[in-house]
Amino acid sequence: MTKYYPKIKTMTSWRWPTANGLPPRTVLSIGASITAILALSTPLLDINLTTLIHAPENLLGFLNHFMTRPDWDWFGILAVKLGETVEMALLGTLVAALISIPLGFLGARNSSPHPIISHFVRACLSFVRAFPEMMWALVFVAAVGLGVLPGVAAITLVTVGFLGKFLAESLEAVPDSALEGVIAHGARPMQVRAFALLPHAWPDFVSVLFVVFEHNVRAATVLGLVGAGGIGYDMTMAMRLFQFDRLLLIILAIWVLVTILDRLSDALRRRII
Amino acid sequence: MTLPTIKSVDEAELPAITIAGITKRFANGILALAEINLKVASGSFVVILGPSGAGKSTLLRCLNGLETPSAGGVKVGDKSVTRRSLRTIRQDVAMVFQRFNLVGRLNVMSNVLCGRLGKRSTLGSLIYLMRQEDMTIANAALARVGLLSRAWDRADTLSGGEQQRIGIARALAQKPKVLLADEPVASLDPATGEEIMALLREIQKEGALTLLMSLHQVDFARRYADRIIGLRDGKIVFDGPPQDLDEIALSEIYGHPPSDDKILSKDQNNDVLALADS
Repeated sequence: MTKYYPKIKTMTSWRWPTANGLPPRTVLSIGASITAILALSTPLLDINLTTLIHAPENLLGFLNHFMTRPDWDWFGILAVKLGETVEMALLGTLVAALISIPLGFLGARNSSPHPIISHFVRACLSFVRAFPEMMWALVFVAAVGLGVLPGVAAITLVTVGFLGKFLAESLEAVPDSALEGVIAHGARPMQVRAFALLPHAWPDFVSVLFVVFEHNVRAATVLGLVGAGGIGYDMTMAMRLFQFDRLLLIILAIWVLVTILDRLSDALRRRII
Repeated sequence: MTLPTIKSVDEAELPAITIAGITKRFANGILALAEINLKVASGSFVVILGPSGAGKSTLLRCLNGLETPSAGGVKVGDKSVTRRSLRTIRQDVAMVFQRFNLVGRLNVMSNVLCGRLGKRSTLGSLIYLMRQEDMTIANAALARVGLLSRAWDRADTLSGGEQQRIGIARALAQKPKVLLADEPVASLDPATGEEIMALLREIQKEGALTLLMSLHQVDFARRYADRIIGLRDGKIVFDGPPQDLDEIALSEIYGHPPSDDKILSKDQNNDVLALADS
């Protein structure tokens, strides 16, 4: 009788909602592969778990340095440095957004003039994305010297790599039906991009812009390590000179700043979309 | 502000559609159209009937180049549809879609203005600048479909019936000579469908447009069409005025009623229920 719901013998009255009552084969094989990969690859790292025994002790010793009063006298300089850091992130993000719009259109398969151009653009984007801001900052410091400029350039470059790829992918996700509605009325290719592709991809692009800005603020806080401007330089110096009161102030300030920006961008994003 | 009425086009310059032996085979091997020959008179309302997959949409889409036939040719008026002539053809041929195909994120006015893009240069439209005369035409088109009050709302906030009206306004804004409608009422409830059909009929009469429409509703086809084409498996199996569409013709088009071997009999249904209880 039951060709519709084959009855199978299982140990319990439970079964998965599949034809044979077993877990889906893809889930099983993915689980097995992950286990196998971890079992084979973890030994490569040569992790010594016994170091964990002394870790709490060492950590408490380090944290002990922070049982101090923050260096409030330094607050004035801190505010200026923090402002500089945020400005670096803002400038880098906005310039990168402008550059990545044409690159996104060139990289998306459904709006690129030629597949070769699309592949080339995507290869370039993935190259600049492959290295962290810190590495690009080193390159630019070598090229233009210490200061804010190499930091902004590094942030811009990596952000273009990310935003360009993101925009290209949102453009490719635009349904053909929306395009046809405009194409069928004789719109030129550039008009199709402006009236069908961009309006569909725009909201996602803007909302990811906020996320990227937050990320860039965090990136800007550490770029000072290599002399590329921002609060990072002072943080490194404070750490090297064992000025734990100043270090404490910087850490607290960064924490407050990132939290405020996080809330702010959330509120803005919700209003826009 | 006075709204100009949408000018009707001179009878003499209206193009007829000539379809000469077109065949369409898709990349996956499916034969959608098999040697279709068809002439459509200027200013007529032609409905294409047929079961799903009969090739109705493909036929319509060959007329404005959204699909390219594998063999044969299509002429709109005296212009044949080729890659090179597509832009000129599309200025005269508008299309209304089953799923409306509006850009939901743009406001209603911008969607209607999309109908004017074919006649305008790229440069202005890249910064969304429109000519005043285009705005006037779009206003008139919106007024014609009765949705002028929604001009500045986002298109995806409108109901299905309203979105289809916007789709029609977009087609009107183009001032077309031929209007293609691909199952324009398939996504709408019967009452709204009736309104849209009536609106399309009026617009077709006013502008003396050639209206070619694919439909699933035999009843609508009988009441609105001047001529009905029956399509089955990519071939024309009926061609005539609505009064000739009798039961025999319908069974030609739709075949025999679907066999019910996929539907559970009462006994089998009881088996399934018993199984669930156990």
